[in-house]
Formats: sequence, C-alpha cells, structure tokens
Amino acid sequence: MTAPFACLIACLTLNLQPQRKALRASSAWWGQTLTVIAIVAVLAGCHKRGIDLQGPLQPGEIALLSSLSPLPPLLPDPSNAFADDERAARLGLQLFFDKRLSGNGQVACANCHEPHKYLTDGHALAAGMGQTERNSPTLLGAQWLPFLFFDGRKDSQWSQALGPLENPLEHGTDRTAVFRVILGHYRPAYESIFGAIPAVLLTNLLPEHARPVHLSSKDPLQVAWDGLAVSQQAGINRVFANVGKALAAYERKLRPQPAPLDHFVAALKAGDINGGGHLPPAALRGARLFVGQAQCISCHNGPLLTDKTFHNVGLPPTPGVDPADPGRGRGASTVLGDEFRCGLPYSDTTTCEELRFLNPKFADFAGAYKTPTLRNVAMTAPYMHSGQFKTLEQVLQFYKTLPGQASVGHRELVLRLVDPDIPTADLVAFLQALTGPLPDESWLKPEP
Amino acid sequence: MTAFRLKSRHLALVTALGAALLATACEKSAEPAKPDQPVTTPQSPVPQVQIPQAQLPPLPQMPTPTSAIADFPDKPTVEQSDGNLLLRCKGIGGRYNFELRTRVPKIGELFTVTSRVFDAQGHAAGQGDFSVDATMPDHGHGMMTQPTHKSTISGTWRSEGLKLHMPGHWQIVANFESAEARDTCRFDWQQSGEATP
Ligand code: HEC
Ligand code: HEC
Repeated sequence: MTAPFACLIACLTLNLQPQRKALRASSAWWGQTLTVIAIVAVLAGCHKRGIDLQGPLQPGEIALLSSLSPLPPLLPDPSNAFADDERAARLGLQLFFDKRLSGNGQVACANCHEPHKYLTDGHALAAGMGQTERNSPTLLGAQWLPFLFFDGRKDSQWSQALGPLENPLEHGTDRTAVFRVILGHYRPAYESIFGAIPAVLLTNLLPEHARPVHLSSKDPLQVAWDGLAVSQQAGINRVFANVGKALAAYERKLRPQPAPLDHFVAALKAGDINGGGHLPPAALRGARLFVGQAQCISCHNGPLLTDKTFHNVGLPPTPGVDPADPGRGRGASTVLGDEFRCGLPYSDTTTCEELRFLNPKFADFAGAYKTPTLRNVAMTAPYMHSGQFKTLEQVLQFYKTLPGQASVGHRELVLRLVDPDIPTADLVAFLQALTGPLPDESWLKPEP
Repeated sequence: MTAFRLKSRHLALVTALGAALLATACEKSAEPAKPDQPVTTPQSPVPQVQIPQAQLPPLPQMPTPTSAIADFPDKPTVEQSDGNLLLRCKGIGGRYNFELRTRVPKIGELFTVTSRVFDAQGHAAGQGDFSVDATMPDHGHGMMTQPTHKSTISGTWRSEGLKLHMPGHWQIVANFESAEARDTCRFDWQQSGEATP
C-alpha cells in the first residue's frame, strides 16, 4: 500500500470514529476493524509522510490551532470571597509594590515580578533577601492554574502570595510584621474591605515579629508566636490571609492580552484560511510544527499553552540548585499540609475538588515541574524552573537533543526527540507570536 | 527553503491529536520502558485531609435497567452521543458485564463515571469491590488523581475524581471483584487535545 493511500485510509477511518453513534453490538466488530485499519495505516503510511508546510492548512491543523485561542474568561475563585472586589484589587496593587513588607525594607513582589518585564525579573534564579533556587515565572495567566509554583505546593493565588512574604530568601518578613504594616499604613482601606481589625490585636503588647516556624520550636519567631493568645494568633492569621486575598484580587487584573496568534485564529474561525496574515510565514510553519510533528501540544495545550500539570522533562542540573529536588514529588504533599489551603478556615470554600482527588504518591511526580504557560514567553527569559536556558533557541536545542538524564525520577516517555531537521527558527518565530501587549498601565505601577 | 513535512496529514477534529501520537508511536525513544519507581523524596507524612464532598454536576440520565447477557457486545464498545459516553463490555473473564457512563472527558478536567455491573444471568452484581482506572499504555503511566468509588444502589457505582491529563491513547479499565469472582473490562479511548481552561 503506498504511503499516501495509507494516510488517506487512516484519515477517513479515524475521522469516522467520533461520529459513530450508538453502535450496536453487531456493528461493534466493524468499529474495531476500522480502528485497527486506522492504526496500521498510520504506522505504515503516515510515518514519514506529511503536510507540505507551505501548502494550505489542513482541517486537523485548523482544529488544533483553534484550540489555542481565544483567551478564556476569568474563572471565579470561590476560595477568595474578595477575588473580584475592585477595592481589594486596588489595595493589592499597593501591597505588590510595598517594600515595607520585607525583613530589610528592600523587597517587594515587584522586585521579582517586574511589570515591564512581563512580571518576571530577567534573572536565572530569583533573589530577595537571599538567593532562591527557582526562576521567577510570569504572573500573566496564573489566574487559571489550579496549583501554583513550579512544584504546585499552593492551591490558590491568595495562599500562594503568603509564601514569599515569610520565605527568608524572599521578603523575609513574618505575619505579625505584615499585620503592623497594614495597621500603620493601610488601616482605612483594609477595614473598608475586610471589616474592623479585631480588638485583641490593638494592643501595644504584640511582639514585633512572630510566626509559626514548624522547623524548630526554639526559633525566636516561634517562641514569640507561642506567646500570643489563640485569639490573637487567629486574628493575625486572618489579616495575613486577607493580605493574600487582596494581592490575589490584584493579580487577577494581570491577564495575558491578545497576541498575533489570537488574531490569526480569530480570522481562521471567521473563514479566512490565511488567518488574516497575522502570522508571518516562519511563525506559521512553526505553529504547524508545534501542533504537529514536534508535538509540543501534548503538554503545552489550550489557550494558555499549558496543561496546568506536571512533567519531568529531565533538565540538566543547575549549579547552586539542589540536584535532589523532587519538584512535584514534594509539592503534592506540601499543599495538602498547608495551613492556608482550600477547605480550611481561612479559605472561603469547602469545595476542593482538585485537592480531594490529588494523589501525592503518583510516581511520575518525582522530578516533575509545572508546564509553564508559553504566553509572552519571548519576553520572559531565562527559561525553566531554575533558569537553565538563556534563550528560546537553547530551549529548542534541548528538546532536539534531550541530553543526559533526569537527576530525579525519569524523563517522561511522551517526550520524544524533536526531529533535528525541524528549523529552530520556525518554532521560535511561533513562540514570538505569543507575545501580546502588557495589561493596562494603571495596574502596572502603584498609586502615588 | 526546504518544505518541511508533518507526519500527520490525516489529523481531523476530535481524533487529531490522538492520531498524531499514534503516528509517532513506532518511533520509540532509546530510553528503556519506565519501571514503576517510587517518589525519591524523603516522604514527609501526608497529613489527613478532610475535604468535604462537592456539589457535582447532574449525571446523564440512566435508562431503565437492561441486562441480558446477550445484550452485551463481545468486544468493548464506546458510543458517543450528545457529549455523553456509553462504554459497554463483557468482562474478559466472562463473569461480569460492565456498563459505564460519563460525559465525554475534557482534557485536564475532573469527571465522574457511573457504572453498572451485571452477573452472567443479567442481574445486578451484589457485594464487591469496584473501581475504574485509566492508564496510558504507551507512556507507562496512569492518572495523576486518585478517584473514589461508591456504591449507590446494588450493582451501581459512582466514581469521582478521574482526570485525563494528556491527549492521546488511554485505556479505561473497570474492575469488579466479589467473593466469587473477579473480572475486568478495558476500553480504548483517544483523548483529544482540545483544552478548556
Ligand atoms: C525573591 C523574588 C520573589 C519575590 C519577592 C516574589 N516572588 Fe513570586 N515567585 C518567585 C519565584 C522564584 C517563583 C517560583 C518559585 C517556585 O516555583 O518554587 C515565584 C512564583 C510566584 C507565583 C506562582 C506563579 C506560577 O506560575 O505558579 C505567583 C502567583 C507569585 N510568585 C506571586 C508573587 C507575589 C504576590 C509576591 C509578593 C507577595 C511575590 N510573588 C514575591 C520569585 C519571587
Ligand atoms: C512532556 C510535556 C512537554 C512537551 C511535549 C513539551 N514541553 Fe515544553 N515544557 C514542559 C515542562 C514541564 C516545562 C518546564 C520544565 C521545568 O522547568 O522543569 C517546559 C518548558 C518549556 C519552555 C520554557 C518556558 C519558561 O517560561 O520557562 C519552553 C519555551 C517550552 N517548554 C517549549 C516547548 C516546545 C517548543 C515544545 C515542542 C518542541 C515543548 N515545549 C514540548 C513540558 C513539555
């Protein structure tokens, strides 16, 4: 059977499958046979055959490209009752830039998530009060992620925001100090949104710094925390959680904006087979490779170009970064033990489907990291969870050679070598077509 | 410029991505098959999570019970209509028949399956352990979630928390084990890559 003929049969039979409705028992055999023919034909015929990337887009390609756009509407966040409160977003904007929320008065969220760098910082590894082991990801698109951080150790944006504040390498502050900043500088705005600060907290006897530390009960911060009344601890936790909720309300304003890919798909859907010319020729070839031969879409799928889950791609180790870091292998259990996770008192919902069915023992979580969104990726170098690569060309070189082995767990089987003959420049041109403008300027700087 | 070629001329709407994966399936990478390997972390004890039941979308309507063994196809069937899936098969051990219903799974989204198990005489199966699982045989992994399986009425189970996190070929596996016998059914399913965020 000649290859194009095999291809055609495969195409026809596979296309028949989804339309089979209510197959009867007697026709089941026929359905099975079709499937077998299809698979055999694919293997035999289509293997090295394919589409001329200069030729017109095929229906299958159009369907796949269309699945990458448009950008979705924002999903509600039931864990945060203030998620869509405009006043909370305004307060969050101020907090995002406020360096008083740090141990040394020099670190704000915006240090590592600089608005004009598409909410990243341009460094391989982020540094606050100390040097971290991770790269700062963009925040544009994080609104849709069920799990945050590269290892998914947080399950909401508001709970996530509390992490860097108390991380000694980032803001290096503590919830009691955060409460003092709110009391001293934001009280009217805070109380108008979240209600009055409880009287038990309005005392001169509160320590300067206190928080639960867990690691060692001898830690002075823990000792100071233990000295607080339970009602004071709960009050401070509540203010701290609300700070996270205001920050999250702000971050919901930071959405990716339409990119050339979106204009292209909109034109395709309107019936223009050339997609309005919104993708230059190289980017269009790259788009076809992305959804086709290079199979990037296995993981980078949907309008955010991420499956929002975790994979082990087997990256080379990074100097200064723990090579035994299990990534999702630890993050999955950490999130279940988090005091600010979904379903606990500071969360505004008890419906926590993602946590309820989370399997922290899933073997392939070892060494896995979250698939990052590729929206605006050309603006957010360096790349990967520890900034392993400086350029998109280097990322693609990695996918073409898959050098070495995973230092933890093993590289996923689905990740196959990308054909070295595929021009890197085409895929890069496609990735560049994912850049949209920044969100409205009014959200990119604090009010004076 | 050279014309670069795609392997997957035949891609089309729903099956597009699955077919592309099949097309590359013969190109096994040099890597050995993945053994089941435990997470290499010092396992911090996982705290007991009390997560309450959620409101779930209404299930597809169940038809009046049918059951005769002859009604079950010899080979597993997967029927699709109006966004619903009906999976039926005779267990490979010939002891039980399985009928699974669900909405067509969307990639990366949790879904629920309601199942009925019948014995060879066509009666609802009684006491026993039932489960539905899904695996990707080509990738050597299963689902990232751990579903729950609850018996509602005799012979009927509701499985919550399934999630197909990748496009491509999945095998949906139903198991039933009673005091007398155990049986299994496997269905092939091509998960499409069209995501809804
Ligand atoms: C010292 C630099 C630094 C500071 C300060 C910082 N971040 Fe980050 N941020 C990072 C790094 C690095 C990561 C990834 C860490 C990881 O995955 O373990 C991250 C991750 C995130 C994420 C998760 C995104 C995703 O895709 O999962 C969000 C959201 C976020 N930060 C928001 C904030 C907010 C809000 C603040 C202020 C309260 C803040 N960050 C302060 C460096 C920083
Ligand atoms: C098996 C799933 C999978 C496939 C297939 C895959 N990726 Fe990725 N990609 C990931 C994961 C996971 C990461 C993050 C890895 C890490 O940091 O540990 C990533 C990271 C990236 C990054 C860096 C993004 C950033 O902000 O740091 C780029 C760019 C990228 N991938 C492009 C591609 C392209 C192009 C293809 C196709 C040639 C592809 N990927 C195929 C899972 C995948």
